[in-house]
Amino acid sequence: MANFDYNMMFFFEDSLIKKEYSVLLTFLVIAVLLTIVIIGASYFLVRQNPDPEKLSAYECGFEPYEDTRHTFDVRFCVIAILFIIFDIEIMFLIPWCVSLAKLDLLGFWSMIDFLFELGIGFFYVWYVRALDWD
Amino acid sequence: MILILITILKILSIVVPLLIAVAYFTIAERKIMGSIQRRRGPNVVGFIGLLQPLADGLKLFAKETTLPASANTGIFLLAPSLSFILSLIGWSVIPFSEGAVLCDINLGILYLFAISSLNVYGILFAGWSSNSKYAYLGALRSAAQMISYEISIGFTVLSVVICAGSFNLSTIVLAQKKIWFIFPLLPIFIIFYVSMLAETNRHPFDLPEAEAELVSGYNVEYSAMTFALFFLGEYANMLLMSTLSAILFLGGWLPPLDIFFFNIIPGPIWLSLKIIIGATFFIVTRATLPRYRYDQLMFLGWKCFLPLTLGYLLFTVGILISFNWLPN
Repeated sequence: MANFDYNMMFFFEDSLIKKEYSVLLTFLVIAVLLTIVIIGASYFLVRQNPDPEKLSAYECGFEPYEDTRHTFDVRFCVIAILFIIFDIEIMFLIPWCVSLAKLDLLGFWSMIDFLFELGIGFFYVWYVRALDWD
Repeated sequence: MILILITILKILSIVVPLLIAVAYFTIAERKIMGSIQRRRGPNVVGFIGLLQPLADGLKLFAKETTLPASANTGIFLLAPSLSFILSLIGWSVIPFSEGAVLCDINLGILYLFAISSLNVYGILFAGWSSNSKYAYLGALRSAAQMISYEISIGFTVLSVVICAGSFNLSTIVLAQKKIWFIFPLLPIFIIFYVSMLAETNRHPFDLPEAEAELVSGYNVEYSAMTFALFFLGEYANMLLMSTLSAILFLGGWLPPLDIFFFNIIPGPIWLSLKIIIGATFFIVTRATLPRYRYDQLMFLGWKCFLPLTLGYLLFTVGILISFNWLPN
């Protein structure tokens, strides 16, 4: 796939979309159908016998007396934000990794510089104890 | 038309053996854990208990589907479907032998990344829509844990990609003709194996399920087939991660040595043996190790694996650049 031709993707006759990605789509459709069949068959073939006591949320014998979705620990939010930063870093590294042989040394050192600055940010996050639990 | 029929047959020839494999993975787990704890495990249904998974499946199918009154029914049903669908469609890019791959796309690794990121949504939907305290707490923990370890998995996979020079899984396997990547990248391989435990919410990182405190975590409100779909999705994901580790580090379908006696054994058998190594690892860690505390888990993910994998990635790149060993 060294000389990849972008026009090739959009010629429908012999394109990647037709050969490979249509198979992916078929797989997705089959998986969805299979799931619907499994849940539907189990729901409609088996006798359902609902009861208010059975349908209340499980809480170790208590009646649940409030909605559960009001607060959560802010650390989960911090972790999610940090995840976005580092995931973007991975997304940035991905094209660099496969094209490294075609880049010159400037391309290499640019990425090292980027990682260095991100590393400073990471140790700052560590220093302000955003990664600590308790 | 005939082409679509052939495609559907091909897809079914992946899905059906996968579901059977998941069923027998569960019984392998129960048997191996039984023998580690010096008991027999299931041995009543069928010959030495071999029909047990089918009986379990039938039992789950015949149970009543509870839809809790306080839950958001749509999202509640979407969550198990999502995790099941995602665990199935990940298998479409896995090469079982040379040329034996359903979709030979150039972006195979990226596709698997996308699939495993979307897995978080299944669990978050389940915890949110159940409207139960345990499910909510379990989903929060699980989501934080999965996204934390996804970063270290990302860096480990990038180290492999930079050695192979491609995202195509077949190309990555063929790049290991001379030496499997486990030998030059041994620390990365160990980190990948540990991260894959955390990514699939397995022991010793199964805090989302933590039976003692959260009863069963995000799937506490689920019953019958909705629960079974979560279960199938989780186990299919474990097999997918074992397969991915076999392809990335253990040479996929390649035999360990390029000699005649190994070469006459077909490639898929070698791949299956390597998948079994991963699957057994999942089971044995579950039977031997105690559960981590949550702060220890986060410590391991963010303060050990993240700097280590990033540093090893730079080390690999430096070696490859300075000796001019880059592929392509």
